[in-house]
Amino acid sequence: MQTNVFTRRAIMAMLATLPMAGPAAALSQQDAESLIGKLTNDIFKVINSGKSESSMFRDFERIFVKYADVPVIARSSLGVARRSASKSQINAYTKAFQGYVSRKYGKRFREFIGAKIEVTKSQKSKRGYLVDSNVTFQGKRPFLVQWQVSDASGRDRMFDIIIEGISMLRLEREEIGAMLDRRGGDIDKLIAHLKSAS
Amino acid sequence: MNLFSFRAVFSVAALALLAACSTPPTKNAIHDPSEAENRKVHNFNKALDRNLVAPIARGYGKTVPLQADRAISNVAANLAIPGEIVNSFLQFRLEDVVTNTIRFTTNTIFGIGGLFDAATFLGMEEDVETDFGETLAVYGFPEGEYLEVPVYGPRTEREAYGLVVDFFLDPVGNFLPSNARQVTFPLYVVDKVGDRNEYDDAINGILYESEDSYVAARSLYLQNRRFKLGTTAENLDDLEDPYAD
Repeated sequence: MQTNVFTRRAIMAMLATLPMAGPAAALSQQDAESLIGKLTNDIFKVINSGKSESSMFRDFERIFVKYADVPVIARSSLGVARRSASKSQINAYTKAFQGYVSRKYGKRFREFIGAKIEVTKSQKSKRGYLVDSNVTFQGKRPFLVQWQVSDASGRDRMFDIIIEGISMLRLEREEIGAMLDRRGGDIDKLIAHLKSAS
Repeated sequence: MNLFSFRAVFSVAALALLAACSTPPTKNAIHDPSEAENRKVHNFNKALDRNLVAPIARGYGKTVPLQADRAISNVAANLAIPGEIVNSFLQFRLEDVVTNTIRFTTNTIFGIGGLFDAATFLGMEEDVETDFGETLAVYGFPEGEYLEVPVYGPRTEREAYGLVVDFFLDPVGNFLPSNARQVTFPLYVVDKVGDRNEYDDAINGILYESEDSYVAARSLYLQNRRFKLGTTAENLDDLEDPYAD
């Protein structure tokens, strides 16, 4: 009895401290914009670092894990298949997915060498904020990259990149869905494939 | 005159076909009932790219100086503007008509027939890219099913009809001497070859590095096209919400 009360108190105390780290410090428009400012800054530093491709991929993965809500992005990319997946499959998939995405998009980033990116505006959205940024190249049409930011995970995190209307979440869900179909819906085979694919 | 009425008849026929466009169940969904045929066309387009277009584009990239490439794309972009003006007019977007008219005049006169992009140099507004597919969208025609068109690549049913109408609409061809197309069409092709070279990495990534390039190309095209037509842009309700479930 005594211990029970104590435990309950301990739990209450722990719960009381939670909001301070999470939802209480609600995501503001400034927080969202500065998160994307830092994120793009980090990415462009790597792009222009002149490092080898494989070491850039590792850097991109680190940045992805630091700024993005990777578990939610990964789960969403699995589509309905996530409902039948076990917890350990989800974990293994998330790990494989984050490496796959870092390599796949990391390769594309080469085209951004010499480009400039600037946060232009943001607006309130369903889960937080939609932050707009503009990418400009010498002698090319500028294009729009938008970022969805939310604190639904308890921390301020980016969860979707939308390039000229193309949502990464959506594209990945469709591509991963096709990969899964080809493997007869076998998530383990998909995980094995993603570990080496790019 | 004969040619003109042929064009008019063709446009009307295309419009009639459009009325038969099938409608997808929801706005953001992929409506691809002809996937099997589309995949065959996709494989054909991919083979065409691998064996012909990509090698030519790479040769082009190695031999054509950057300034010549820029001049070609400037002229091609300038020649496309009259058609865009007609479409903006049909869409009742008079502001776009004005923007493109100023740009076309500036580049034709000060850019020596469009060889130089004087308008951008002078800090003028970007040209408004549009086509008859967009005009149809403005009129409320449904997107129809997803199609992969031989040579041209991903389109929707509506945009495929638009492509045909734009080809026959061609206001530049109506003004220039009748054999002008012998110059303008090759120029258009060369410009596309230049684009293929310029976006080599991105195109290779989609066609040859993704496991299912058909699915990748379809997703990229549909999302980007809907964004350009403004059917999903700025519409916050259409944003992805992975926290919903």
